[in-house]
Amino acid sequence: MKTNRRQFIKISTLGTGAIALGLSSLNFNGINAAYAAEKNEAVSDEDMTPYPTFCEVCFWKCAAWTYVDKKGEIRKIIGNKEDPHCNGRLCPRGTGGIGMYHDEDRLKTPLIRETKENGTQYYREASWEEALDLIASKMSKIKKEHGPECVALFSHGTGGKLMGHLVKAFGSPNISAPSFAQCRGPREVAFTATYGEDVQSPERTDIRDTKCLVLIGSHIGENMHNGQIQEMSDAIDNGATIITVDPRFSTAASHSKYWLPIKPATDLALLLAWTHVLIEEELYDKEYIKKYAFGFDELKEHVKDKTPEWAFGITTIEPEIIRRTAREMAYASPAVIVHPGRHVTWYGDDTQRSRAIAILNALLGSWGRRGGFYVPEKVHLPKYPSPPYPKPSRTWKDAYPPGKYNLVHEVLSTGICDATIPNPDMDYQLRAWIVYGTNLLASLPDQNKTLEAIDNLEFLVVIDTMPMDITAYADVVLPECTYLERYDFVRTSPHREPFLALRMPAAKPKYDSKPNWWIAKQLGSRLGLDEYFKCDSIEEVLDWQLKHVGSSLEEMKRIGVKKFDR
Amino acid sequence: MRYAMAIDTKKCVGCGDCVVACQTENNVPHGYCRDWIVENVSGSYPNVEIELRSERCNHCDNAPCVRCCPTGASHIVEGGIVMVTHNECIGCGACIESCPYDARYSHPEGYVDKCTFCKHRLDKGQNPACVEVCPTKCLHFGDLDDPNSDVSKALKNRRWKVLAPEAGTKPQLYFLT
Ligand code: SF4
Ligand code: SF4
Ligand code: SF4
Repeated sequence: MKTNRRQFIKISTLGTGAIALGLSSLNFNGINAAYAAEKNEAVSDEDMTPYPTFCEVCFWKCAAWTYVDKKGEIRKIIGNKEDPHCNGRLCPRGTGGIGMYHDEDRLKTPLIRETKENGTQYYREASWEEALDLIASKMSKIKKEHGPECVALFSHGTGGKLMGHLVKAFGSPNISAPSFAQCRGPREVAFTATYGEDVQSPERTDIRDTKCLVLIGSHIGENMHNGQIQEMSDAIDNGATIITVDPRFSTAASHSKYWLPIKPATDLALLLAWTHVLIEEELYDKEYIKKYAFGFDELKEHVKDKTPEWAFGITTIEPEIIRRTAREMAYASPAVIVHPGRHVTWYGDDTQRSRAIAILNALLGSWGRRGGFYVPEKVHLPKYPSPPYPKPSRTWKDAYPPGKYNLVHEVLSTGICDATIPNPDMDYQLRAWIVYGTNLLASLPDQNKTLEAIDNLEFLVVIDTMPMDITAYADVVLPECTYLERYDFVRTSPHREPFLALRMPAAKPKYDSKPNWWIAKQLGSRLGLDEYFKCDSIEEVLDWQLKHVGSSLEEMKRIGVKKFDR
Repeated sequence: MRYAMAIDTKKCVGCGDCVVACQTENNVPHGYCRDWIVENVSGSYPNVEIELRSERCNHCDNAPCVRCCPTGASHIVEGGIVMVTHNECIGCGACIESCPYDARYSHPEGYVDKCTFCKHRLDKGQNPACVEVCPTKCLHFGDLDDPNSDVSKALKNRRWKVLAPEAGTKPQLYFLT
């Protein structure tokens, strides 16, 4: 590998020279920065104005109210009681979300990479005008010389959709969320292969009503997937049996009836042994299997010799415990959940392990049953009219031999990396990346390969709110404002009943940061894509969408979340 | 009236939301907190236990911090809440030394601060911020003299303990075990 063409540039806080890098972006540095402006007294809710939002600290997207005091300072964020994602209670990260707004290390102004005469590189502060012009001219050049597909987008979070709209309009299908392969990918592929539907986000687990919850390497309570923690607490009150499989004595394990300290990487053997016991002892839901399943005989044959004694040698879990826990599940059936987990990319057997989980749930008859997996509902908002996207002539898959990654139904981030590194066997190479809201050096496997791909890029744009590893490699850095300072597309995530949630700004963007909508529209207009951004503001788009389902922006600003009929 | 809190150690997950909610509600300066989480691990593999406790000022019935305060800034108000009047406090720190629970801290502005059970919220009929935010609903608050209060009901049906009973402070935080 040649030496880095792109030097790693530390972004320091202006004025103080302090350095903010790496994973420090998630500390709660800014939570109490409001303190400087105010005396140490609580402000009563009546003296503040609440603005609706939904949290962007994680994918759970809890709806909330942002409280702003008379001076216009954001003081606290409190969950929206009408929202089923949080029931009025945010998790600690969501409660601390104001830290994102107050953080003094935020990206404050556009930055452009420059090289000094002696060869050292540095960032120069630039105007939006200059930074956007530069990005548009580089993108146009690549489009002309290599085709629009050679620009790829990595994105994460709610705002990613807007950037995706821009990149699709530009003509590239290479839009990827690293979270897919890292997190839900194997699970969703496995459940789709088993049930024809995926688990979705938030997970369709009816933990509230379950009698038996099986957690396999799923650290509910340490992960703060809010609704699940709340419901697990309800399940404890209701006397549900919790079975936790984890080499480590986790918080969930400490709240469980059974802790199975499994030897790492052997979960599949345990799952097969459980399947064996359910079938051998005829504990499975026979009617359910008869009505809905095929392939049962093959399954029976396959697990015939997968006895608890066989699994003991692999997993170190006592055969008696394997039998007893399988029976506990069967007694609770169909109100039982073998949790599909989240962030399930572990050992390389992930899709098969997830399939085994899906099949185990089928034997227990829990899919589509109370206390098992519910059937989610969501509101379908129409897309604001815009011309069809141009048809791309190539995709990231063309960088691979035919037949590779057949099951994948989203763009693979590692695929984007591979397609960026020149390869004599292909005439197709990605040239520029736009990275929105994801720290690629930490969110992609094989960091060296990511660095090699970055090294081969002609152009790298990073759009974010905080400096982090990936910002240090950018050619242009654009400072986005935080979720508390902007509108975004309305939240339509599935739940037991269909809900909408609105995010609106509670304060003006700090420093010289800008909302994603503005950034996308400005770039769109410089790239000749005005017809894809016909509205003057995102408010117009939101109002148009909301009116189609019998609400309006005005109404949503008042109530924050709205429930619809099933 | 006697305010008290019961903390369900069988449900707390140690997430720290109670701590963060207190910080934003009460404008606690950066680097300080009025409540905190204790994780007690006992036993040895594979028979291990973890007890998670959300702790704060115990609003003791027999409060050494109030007795030792030279200015009267530390005092007890209706409902048994132990309060500090900031502008009467000279920051001598005697109360900090006297508290067996380490519940007080020196505020950078020169006075001593601690949990108030969110008195400003109680006055309006609201629960303390930590109680309202807790995702597992493991914090139970209310008036011990009212048998129907959340805290009274929680204590009736469960085993509980208090911390450092030997100190004789008659603490009013109850840990459900
Ligand atoms: S679970 Fe926590 S971080 Fe995630 S959206 Fe909800 S409040 Fe925010
Ligand atoms: S918020 Fe609740 S669950 Fe979380 S640490 Fe505090 S008391 Fe425990
Ligand atoms: S816990 Fe400490 S600060 Fe609180 S009342 Fe008791 S002695 Fe005083």
